[in-house]
Formats: sequence, C-alpha cells, structure tokens
Amino acid sequence: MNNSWLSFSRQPRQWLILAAFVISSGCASNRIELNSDFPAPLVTASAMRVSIVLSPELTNYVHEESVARRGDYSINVGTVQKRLFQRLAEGVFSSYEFTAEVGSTDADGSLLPVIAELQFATPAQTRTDYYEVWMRYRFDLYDRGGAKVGSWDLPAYGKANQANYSNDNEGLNAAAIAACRDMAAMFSLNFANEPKLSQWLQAANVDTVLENSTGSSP
Amino acid sequence: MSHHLYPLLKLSILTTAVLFIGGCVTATVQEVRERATGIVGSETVVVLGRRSRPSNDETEIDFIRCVADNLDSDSVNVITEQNFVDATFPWFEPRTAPINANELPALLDEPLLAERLEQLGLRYVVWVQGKTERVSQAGSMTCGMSPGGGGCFGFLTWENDASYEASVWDTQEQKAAGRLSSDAAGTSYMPALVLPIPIIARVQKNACIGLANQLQEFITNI
Repeated sequence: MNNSWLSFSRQPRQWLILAAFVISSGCASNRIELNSDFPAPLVTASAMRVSIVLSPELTNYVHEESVARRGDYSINVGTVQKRLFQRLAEGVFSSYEFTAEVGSTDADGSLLPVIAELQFATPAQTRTDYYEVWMRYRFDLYDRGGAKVGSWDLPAYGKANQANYSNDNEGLNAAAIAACRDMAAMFSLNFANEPKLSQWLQAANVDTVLENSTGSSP
Repeated sequence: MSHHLYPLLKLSILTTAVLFIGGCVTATVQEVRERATGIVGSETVVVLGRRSRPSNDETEIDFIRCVADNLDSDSVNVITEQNFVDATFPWFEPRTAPINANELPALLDEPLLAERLEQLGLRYVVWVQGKTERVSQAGSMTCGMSPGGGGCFGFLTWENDASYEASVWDTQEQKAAGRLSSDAAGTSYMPALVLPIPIIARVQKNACIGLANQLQEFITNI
C-alpha cells in the first residue's frame, strides 16, 4: 500500500467529499443494462439457411439521453442482442450461423440486424402509468455473394406499469425487455409474409415449403 | 418490573393490536355462466393479465400472481403466467394475444401451438382486467424532530376501489365459458399522536381472494 493512499485515508474531509460525490452521481444517473433470456419462437421453421451478422454496433448498442430534471439515462440493450437473435434463429430458421461482418457465405443469404433508433419515456414525462420503450430495428438483407438486396424496418414497443416497479431503472429495464420480445414476436410471425423477405427468399432460391425441424447450433 | 415500564408496555400492546386490525372492506363477486365447465386432474389453468395496447387499466402483476396462487389447489392446477407466455411465445405477447374468444379456433389451428398446449394440459385461459385505485383522500399529518425526540400529529384517511373482471375461455370447447367480476372498496385510516398508526383496508387482497374463490367454484362447477 503506498503512502499517498494512507495519507488520503486519514483525511476525514476527503472521505466526506468522496461520499458526497458518490451520492450525487448516484442520484443523477440511471444506468440500465439488460440481462435477460428469451424464449425461442414456437413457429414452423423456414427452410432457409441464414447467416446472421451480429455487428459490434448492435452488440455494443447503448442509448444515452439527458432528461431535464431527471438526470442522465443510459440504456444498454446491446448486451442481450446475441442471446435474443440466437433464440429467434432457433425457432425461425432450420439452419443458421453467426458472423461479425457481411460477406460471401455458404448459407442462402445474410441478415444484418441494426437498431436504427431507440426512444423511451417515463411516467413522469408522459403523466401515464407506464414506462415505455420504442425501438426501430432494420434488417438489411444480403444474397450469398454479399450484395445487398433490400431492407426491412420493424418497429418494436414495450411498456411496463409503474405499479409493478419501484424505480426508473427497474421500469425501463422491464419495458426494454418487452420491446426486445415484441421484435422477436413480430419477426417470427411476419417473416414468411413480409414482401421484402419473400423477395429475399426467392433470390436465395429457397422453396417456400417450410420445415418443422429446429435450428442447428451456431 | 419498574412502574416506568407500564406505559411503554401498554403502548406496545396497543400498537400490536392495531396492526392486526384492518380497515373495513366491502366486496362483491358476480358471475355470468355461458356454458358448463369442469376439470380433471391432468388439466391446467392459466391466469393472464391483459397487456394489449392501448390500455390504461393494465392489471397489476401482483394481483395476477395473487389470483393464480389462491386458485391453485388440489382440484385446480395453475401454470404461472411467465412460464405460460414463455412456453407459448410468440402467441400470447401483448401485440399478438387473442382479444376475443372467437379467435381461439384459428389460434388452436397452429399445429406447434396446439401441440404445446396439449403438453401443458391447458384447459382454461382466464383473462383478468382491471385495477385498484385510490378514489379519494382527506386529512393531514405533520411530523417533526428535535434533539429531544420526534413525532407526528394528524389524521389521514383514503378510500381505495378495486374493480376486476375475469373472462374464462375453454380451450377444449374453443369458446368463452363465462365472466366473473370482483369489486371491493374500503377506507384506510392513519391517526397519529406521536406515533402514526396505520389501519389499512386490504382492498386488493379482498378482491383477489374473492375472485380466486369464485373462479375455483366456476371452473370445478361444484
């Protein structure tokens, strides 16, 4: 232990300043880091073999915003994206793999998920009972050669009743998890019917006949 | 024992007694039966809160849990809400869950979902709507503290109103089996003479137990 630490630890005034700093910084910031598992969708799996591109922009996505009189908010949704897309792929695709960047693939095509936008609201802002999170996912679709063939925008929404949560962190955490589940639900139910995805499937020469088999491990 | 201890003893006995006294609650339970019901040992029931949007009266998670816990018994097996929505994902999410019982046949045509519901042994889906809210309040209380001690003085009163409705869907018949409602109202008091003494009317708890008991009678049809 060095001398500077000993001299610091013997100064009560410095301890008070440190305590005040910790208390004031704790009041001013709300840090939410999602940590949740998700269920695999119970839908008939597509015959398509897909390469899912999990970019660092997606897996490190953090929304930061300052709200007047409420402090700073940091919502880290990137931490759960890999788990979310793994569960989604287990249900929706008969075969899938994860990569970090778009390129040529042995799969029928590549899917690059992007969080294009995230907004949130607290009951104090909206004067309702709900914490709300809106996310706009964009899915860029690539053929097996790595050429972009289209995009699909998918809005997702999650809310959490403030009666069930004791503070902003818990409420926004629940609302953000609900938004992630909403995206997975809408993706899995609309995947086969979305026109842009149908074109992608046709470009990949994937038969529209669907299989009942479940996904392979990445 | 010293005579100085008697006032303290009396105060603690009084406080303990008051903690066991609740405010008065009036509760009403009603039901409308649309068809005959019944349940056998292997069949299960799930109690779900309505989470579809837009909804300004989303039911509290605690209330759903309370009804499920009180309904669960030797004669009625209840699956928890979270386990059920995870096991049937994505069919009972806020934006995808069926709104009316007439959507049940189409939903049960989904082969993987039908298979999962059969594995779960699901017979009845109970949808609960409603909430408990404070409808009025009055009075005031002031608390203070000094080097010699502290205390509160005043009187607070408030009235809570709980109103819930449960729709029971029979997955075997693929139709609605009936509706039940549970309403409760009660006034809570908090007099304070140095020490605040809460006399709480357990409105939500009464509505929950009333609804769960009525659901059990409704489902078992006994």
